Amino acid sequence: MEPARILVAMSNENSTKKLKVVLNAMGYQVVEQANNANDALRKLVNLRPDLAVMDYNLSPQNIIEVAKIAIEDKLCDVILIASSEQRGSLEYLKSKYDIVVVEKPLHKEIFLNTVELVIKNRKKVLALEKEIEDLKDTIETRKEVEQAKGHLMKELNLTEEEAFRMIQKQSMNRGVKMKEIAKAINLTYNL
Amino acid sequence: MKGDNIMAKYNKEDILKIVKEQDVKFIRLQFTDIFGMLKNVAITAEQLEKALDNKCMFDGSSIEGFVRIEESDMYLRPDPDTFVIFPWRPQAGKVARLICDVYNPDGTPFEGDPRYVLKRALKKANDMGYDIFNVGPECEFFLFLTDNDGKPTTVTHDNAGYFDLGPVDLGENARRDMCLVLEDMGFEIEASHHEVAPGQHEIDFKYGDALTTADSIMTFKLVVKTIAQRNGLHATFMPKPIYGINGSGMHTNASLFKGGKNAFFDENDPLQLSKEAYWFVGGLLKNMKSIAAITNPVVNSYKRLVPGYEAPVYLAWSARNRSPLIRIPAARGLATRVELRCPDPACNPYLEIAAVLAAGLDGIENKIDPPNSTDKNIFDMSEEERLKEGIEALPGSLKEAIDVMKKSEFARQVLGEHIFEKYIKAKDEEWDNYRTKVSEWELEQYLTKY
Repeated sequence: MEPARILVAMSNENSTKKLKVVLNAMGYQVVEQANNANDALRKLVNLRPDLAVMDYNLSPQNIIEVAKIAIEDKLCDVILIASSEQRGSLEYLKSKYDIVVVEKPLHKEIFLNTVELVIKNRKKVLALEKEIEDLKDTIETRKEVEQAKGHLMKELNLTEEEAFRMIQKQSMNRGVKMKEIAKAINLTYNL
Repeated sequence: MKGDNIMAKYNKEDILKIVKEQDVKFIRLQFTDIFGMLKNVAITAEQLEKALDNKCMFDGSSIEGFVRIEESDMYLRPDPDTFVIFPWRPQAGKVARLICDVYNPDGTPFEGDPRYVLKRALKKANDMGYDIFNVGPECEFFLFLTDNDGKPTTVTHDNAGYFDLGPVDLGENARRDMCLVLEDMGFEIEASHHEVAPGQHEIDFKYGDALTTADSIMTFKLVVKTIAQRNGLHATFMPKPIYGINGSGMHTNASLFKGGKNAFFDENDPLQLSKEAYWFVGGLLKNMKSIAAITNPVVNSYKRLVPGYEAPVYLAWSARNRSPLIRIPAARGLATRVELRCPDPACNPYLEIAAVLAAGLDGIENKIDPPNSTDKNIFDMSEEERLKEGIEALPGSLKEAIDVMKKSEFARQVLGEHIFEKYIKAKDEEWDNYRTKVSEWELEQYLTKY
């Protein structure tokens, strides 16, 4: 089981307490609780837990907005707890927003399995997103450096290796990424 | 992409290309009503070309203060340079905006469009030989907690016992997010800090030409309110939300440029100010009471303009004091400027800037020398001393301000007949509405006693 930080926001104290106990027992860290939808939002913004478990009844007018903001602004993942009647109207949240809706009354095993799956999935997605960002950066760098090498080779009559070495040296001496050096070179020659 | 959002000169083809590449779903055609409220007509990407060809129409009668039903068709002409994609909630489909001028069906600019009022004032400045009117606003606002249903309270983070969340407070995080988003949209943020009162913040962005700055103030308010909401807070530009602590002002720094040089700077003057700078101040002081209803437009504005909270009360200027109505900051050379400290952020920025410019130009045109600067603390003077020095006070209420404005030919000229009439009528109603309500204070004072 992956460790995770969780915020719990239920419409009544007892439910919150019970959930806290159950989650803590599994080894999760319940970082905060909230009894008010916007209070929960403020805590999510500032604590950035991995997961928010929130009760639809906490604020029927507002809780969906809070859940959407949590997903859109990448604050955390969200599990909404709703009655079976309410669940129907919340289906669209699953497909469009990746918000998991769990039905009341909560079944301990199923709920914990759901939490575990959401956390696992979250870690996977975050890792993939990071990899994508890194790859994008690599491609960008390569693009800029190729262009910069081309400029240097043409203007300063250097070989490819010499041009690359020049960019590399500048980068090391100035403590600036090679991508930035290359961009500066390209900007100068493109003026 | 960040690069696309930096303020650039766009044309129609650029915009259509960006919208396609960035998969923008909706565009908001934005304009401002006479009370400074942001309005918009939302269109889809498919309708964008038609809008950029100035063919987009809307029903003007639906906007308060605009027109009656009979005159209702209005055209929106987008300003391509104002194109920007909102950086928030991309999952719901990217949304961009274009700020528009409002035109009549016959192709003439609509008299009731505040943006046109500012353009008209700027034309007068151009006719007088000034190329640019630079304006730099310093905008304050409060961040309050929202309740369970998302409604604002007047509880600030500082009072709500959130200290257990750690040293970085909610307001700081929200303000930081606001600055990041503003920068993403092309703003140059100069300063961002917590203000004096609990829950109060200030964000200053770099000065620019008057029209761009007025547009920017509208955008700024939208961003601040949106990001606050997404942080579980409510941002308010109400001038005085809580009695007993500082209110929120929008200090307005202004300077006129001629041929690339700052027309307010003269190195040979003892204060290094030019005659035009002095006359600008003279014009502002002369016309201030007539335009107070524009710079301080709501009942609550006058609850802020009271002694004791760093807000100005008296018509005076100084290059040394920090809290007069008009202050001359120390910077000189290209940065020489006049700072008007009474406006509050509830004002309509287009009308406020137009009024300030027109007042200053009136001073220059008629060579109005200002009274001597007041370097003493006016609040320390007695009533007699003040009257002896000839120091008058700002209007004490919206009613007083409107009564002066009604009789002011100057205000009528600046706003134009249409807006002048509608504005006064609406403010009369606002005052009457306020006046006839029974307030908490009255109940507290009289219910038991009488």
